[in-house]
Amino acid sequence: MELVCPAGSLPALKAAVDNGADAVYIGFKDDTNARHFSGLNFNDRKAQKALDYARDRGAKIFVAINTYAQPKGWARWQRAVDLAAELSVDAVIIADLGLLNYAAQRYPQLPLHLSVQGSCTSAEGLKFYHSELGIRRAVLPRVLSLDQVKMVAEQSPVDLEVFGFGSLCIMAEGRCHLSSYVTDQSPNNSGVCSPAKDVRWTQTEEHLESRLNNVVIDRYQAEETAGYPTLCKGRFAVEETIFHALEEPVSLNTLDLIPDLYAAGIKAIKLEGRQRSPAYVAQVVSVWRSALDSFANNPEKFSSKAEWMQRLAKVSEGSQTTLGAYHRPWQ
Amino acid sequence: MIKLNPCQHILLPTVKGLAKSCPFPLQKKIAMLFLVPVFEEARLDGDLDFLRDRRIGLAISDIDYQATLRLENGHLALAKSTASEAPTDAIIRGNLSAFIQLANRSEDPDSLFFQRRLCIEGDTDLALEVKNLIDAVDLDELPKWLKQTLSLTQLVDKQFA
Repeated sequence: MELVCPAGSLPALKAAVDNGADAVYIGFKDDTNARHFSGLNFNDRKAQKALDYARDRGAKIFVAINTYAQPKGWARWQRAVDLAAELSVDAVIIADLGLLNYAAQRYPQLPLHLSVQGSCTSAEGLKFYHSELGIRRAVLPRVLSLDQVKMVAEQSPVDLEVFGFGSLCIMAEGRCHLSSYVTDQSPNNSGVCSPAKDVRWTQTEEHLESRLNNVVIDRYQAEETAGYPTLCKGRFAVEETIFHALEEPVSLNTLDLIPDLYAAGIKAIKLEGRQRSPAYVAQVVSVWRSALDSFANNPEKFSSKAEWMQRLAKVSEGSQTTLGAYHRPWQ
Repeated sequence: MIKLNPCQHILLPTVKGLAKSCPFPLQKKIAMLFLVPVFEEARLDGDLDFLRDRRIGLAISDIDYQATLRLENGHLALAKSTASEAPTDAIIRGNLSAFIQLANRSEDPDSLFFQRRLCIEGDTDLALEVKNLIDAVDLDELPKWLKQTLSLTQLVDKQFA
């Protein structure tokens, strides 16, 4: 299985390649990708450097252009596809049907991957994207149980990529507009669900408080671990109880499922975290490289090592990990 | 609470004493020695422009030291942190160990933040951009002496492990 790793900067990309990434996915410096944060991502010069570094070491580069094109900015989304084609990257990862169509018509040779933001969860959907737009791979949203992944994989006309590790969101990937409720922005429309300009952290005597556009998201006691200040991971009062009413701050970790995913015919594992540092990328990629190599060398005897799990938990949101939807027997 | 090991018992007061007794002009010169080459590529790319007319504070709690950074002639420079100066727009706060681990990239800033070892006050967007600016520094492009100095911090880092 191919290991697809995140990079929000050139040093992160180098960390990914040096630690054994088969492919690295990056975004350009604007709202055409779902990690649109100040100071993150690649201009054309840095993208070229990234490409050269990766190619020299036998790694691929994918470009995520995975937000939904807005009427006023259509030219910006076209330019992002044009630039990716000019650089001859190994694939572009797109969610928007209109943009997929533009890329397919204009650059028939440019490999297209359907982004997780496309939120395609059925073999029928994948057949449509394949026959009409020629996608070669799809990234499945983290909403499916392992059994459902197997079912989709059995009939999929294209290669499938699934998430292996990273901060988990509320699992309506590609369909989530929850953050619009307080910030007027959402991942699909603006590439961000917790715009930093709307975030305020305040330390008081009793707790650390996070606010999003002045709405209290959470209050952390002294010894509690913190999470990203997104609406879905806040603690809210429901009737008399205050709790994580929508989702807990937690990271997905599927090291244990490597044999199952391989048996299901999954072709690539994606690691989340383009917003994270080179240190995170180095740590997470090296653990996953070791795990995938260990599985390839001795599939029957594979089991995830405690040391790997500890290293991943250390960089996890909420310092805890879960199998997420993969482990939902009722689903 | 992180327990101090014997080395830290010596290291922290020493660093604290040095920081306290070092006059500001000298602090500024020493900082310049590092800041200019580290952020030169970013400056040429226009990636420091967001700091124009902004002041960012780095507060190192356990040695009771705060550095304020701002742009001076296009370069990142140390500014006076006294109350009479303009207030900072954002502060990144943590212990010395966290800053050392950030400098040599042995720890991920978001993880330090989740673990409550780093915190951000004020303009989150500005602090995030500074974090991303630091993450984007390509260590391979730095002069050799600077790379060697950074590798020394890894030795110090081990004292905090």
